[in-house]
Amino acid sequence: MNNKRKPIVEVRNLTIGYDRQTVMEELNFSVFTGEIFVILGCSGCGKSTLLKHLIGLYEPFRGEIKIFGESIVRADEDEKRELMRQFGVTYQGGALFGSLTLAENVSLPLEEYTTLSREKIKERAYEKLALVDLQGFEEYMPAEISGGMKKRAGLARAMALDPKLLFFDEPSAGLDPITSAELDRLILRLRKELGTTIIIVTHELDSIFTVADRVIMLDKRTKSIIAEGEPHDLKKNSDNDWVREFLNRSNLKQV
Amino acid sequence: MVEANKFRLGLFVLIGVVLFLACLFVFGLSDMFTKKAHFVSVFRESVQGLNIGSSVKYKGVPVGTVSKISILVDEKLILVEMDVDLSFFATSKSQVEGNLLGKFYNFCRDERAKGLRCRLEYAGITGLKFVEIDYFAQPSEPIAIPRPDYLRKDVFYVPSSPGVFTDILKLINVSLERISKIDFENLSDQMGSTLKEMKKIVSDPKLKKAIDQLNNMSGNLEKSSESIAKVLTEKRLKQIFARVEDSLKSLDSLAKRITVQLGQAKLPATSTAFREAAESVNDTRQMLGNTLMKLDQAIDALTELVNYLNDDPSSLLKGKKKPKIKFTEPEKK
Amino acid sequence: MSIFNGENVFTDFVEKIGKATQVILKDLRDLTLLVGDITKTSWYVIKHPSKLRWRDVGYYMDLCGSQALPIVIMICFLMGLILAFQAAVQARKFGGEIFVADAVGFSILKELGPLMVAMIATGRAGSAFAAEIGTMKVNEEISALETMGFSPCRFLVIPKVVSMLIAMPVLTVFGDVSGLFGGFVVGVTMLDLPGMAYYTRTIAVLYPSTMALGLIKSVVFGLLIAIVGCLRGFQSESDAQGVGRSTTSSVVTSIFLIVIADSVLTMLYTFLGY
Repeated sequence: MNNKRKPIVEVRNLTIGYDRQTVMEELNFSVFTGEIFVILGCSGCGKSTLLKHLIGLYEPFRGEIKIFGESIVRADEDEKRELMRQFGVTYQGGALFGSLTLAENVSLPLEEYTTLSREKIKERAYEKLALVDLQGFEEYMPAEISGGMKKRAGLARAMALDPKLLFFDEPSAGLDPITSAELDRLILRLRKELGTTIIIVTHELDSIFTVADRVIMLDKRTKSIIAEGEPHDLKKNSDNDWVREFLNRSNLKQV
Repeated sequence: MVEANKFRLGLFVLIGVVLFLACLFVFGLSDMFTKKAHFVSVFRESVQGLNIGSSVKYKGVPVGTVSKISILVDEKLILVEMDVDLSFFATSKSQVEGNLLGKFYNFCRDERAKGLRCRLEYAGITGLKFVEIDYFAQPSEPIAIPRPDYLRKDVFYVPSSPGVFTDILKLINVSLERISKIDFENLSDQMGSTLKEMKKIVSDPKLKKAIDQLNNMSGNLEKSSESIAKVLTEKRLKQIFARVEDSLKSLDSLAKRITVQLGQAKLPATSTAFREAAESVNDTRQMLGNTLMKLDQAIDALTELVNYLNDDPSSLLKGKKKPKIKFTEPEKK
Repeated sequence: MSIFNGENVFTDFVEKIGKATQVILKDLRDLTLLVGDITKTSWYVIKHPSKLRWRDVGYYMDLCGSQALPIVIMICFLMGLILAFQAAVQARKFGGEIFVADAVGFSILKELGPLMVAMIATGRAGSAFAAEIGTMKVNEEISALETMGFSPCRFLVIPKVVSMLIAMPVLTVFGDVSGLFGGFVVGVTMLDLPGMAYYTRTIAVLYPSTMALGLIKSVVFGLLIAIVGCLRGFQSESDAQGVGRSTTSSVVTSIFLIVIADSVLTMLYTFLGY
């Protein structure tokens, strides 16, 4: 790890939860430019909640989240919206707008935030859809395509404004292993081609070992980060039994 | 994109707007294009049952509506303003163009002189009223309530005529109130006692005697005046006068002497007593005369009352000498 | 939760009242926030009309307006029919058949036209709004909108509100006319009134203001339906049952608020002398 690199996301003393119930306490971590950072943990430990705090949808109880060096916690509504526009988010089910075609879904941010002409926008939308291997499906409605395609379309929409930072919520959940692997390859390709920093929330071990540069593991019981580091390294050398067990089970499964 | 059916949507909005405008037009925007005359009338009676929007009829034709009802505080009169639609008045004359309103007002002015009045009429049994304009008055009849001088210049004043049923309720109420005020018991008691008294007086034997005496007295008086007339001739009168003069002179001297003597004697007291006695007799006679006169008056009044009641029993209800309501025959035209 | 082993009815009762109060207070808070958001966004949209999603407005107007037209016409026609029928039974006793025109005219234009249209619109539009926004919440589409830096209010609420504000009065005009026609049919067929007499009576007692008052009501109802539908949608829990509950709740709340608004407006009209 090169700690001298500039962090793109910085989390300090973050305590989060909902309805007065604390989920995680005193979290501290940073994500550096160009990294693929994975937030790992078992179901229900608060991975998705953490993600929603990072992207500014929820307000934390305490602590500080800085994205591109600016606090998303203390920003007012307009500043927050401005900040949100600079990163992309891909949701579990794609979260495509059901009343718009795929192309229109991708065009939406372009229409709102750029002064491009109608043709240029359409061209750009088709280009982004091609990037996620969805040529030929541009004029389909979201209800007419499969789950994996929806996720990829969601990714295309998230990348419409060429953000420097991408968040993925459970990219491979509910997908078959082949589609899942394809998505992993797509993520790696994006990083390679565009240099995008990517933060992924997942519990799929296959993906972790394929894409992750660095992971943090969240633990439900201690409400804190139980391990941080390179996945293969953690798998072998972690001093925590539970972490090794978690990461190695996949090995057993693979065999 | 889930698109709207643009044709259907457009049709929906267009037809809706057209319907809306049509409704507005039908419900009264057409009013704006009709010529209206403004009539004003003033009523003394209650206008209970008349509302804004009540119809105004000319000989039964609904020609307009009541537009405002207000109260003239000083005179305690009700001011009723009406809008009359000119289009109901067709004319055979060809020159309808030009100042239609002015001509209409001229027409109305002529008709008012001929007895055009407005009157409140009941519309069915609901208690609602409308204003009927017709020739309720004789052509020469004066206007009961003159036009209030502060009315706007551009309104036409139609005098009102009291309604057919006007104040019928009020009349009954007043009568009933009056009747209820009469103390019948007391009245009959008093009458009974009066009659008894009268009977007593009439049947008093003293009265009979007094009347007989009066008769005698008058007879004597007649005789004496006759004999006096016989005795008194001019010559004798002169003699008498001369004698009287002498007597008077001697009387005078006598009186002087007597006065002197009387001054010494105690006669004044005696004469005062005598005078009083004489006066009291006189009083009694006068009182008797008065009583008889009053009795006579009372009997007259009773007779008159009985006759009056015989003629017009209803006056017991209505009170005496109320002018009767005149029904004027509406002039047919 | 009762301190007396759940046996104490009184404690339970008080607890329920407390919970209900909490719910009502939360609803009021959410409503206030939403109305504030709508006001702010409306101002923005008025200044930048191109930022309004006109296509969405058209879509919702089609959905809640033109597609609801057949049912509105039918219900209002039947309403006029029933009303005239009932009025006729009473008016006949007094020989006042012609007053059926008054009864139908005033009731439909001032009260029942806007009210029936509002009920239909609640069932069609209000529930649709709540279900749509609720489902979008389940699919994280609302979150997606927010993280794309869009205001959900501008994208989802304003088009619905605008379309309802336009569609409701238009629908009410249709409803009014068909209701009057329903009364006319009864007047002519059952009461043997001359059609012209009924028509003349109707237009004699009704003024443009009568209709305008009803249309103002319908605009208010439309606003209520749109706001409540969206509010319940945003409040929806993120599962299928949650969406169902919020849809039901939107209809119930809308009808409740419509009836209250109707009484308030009617009182206001009376107070102002209309």
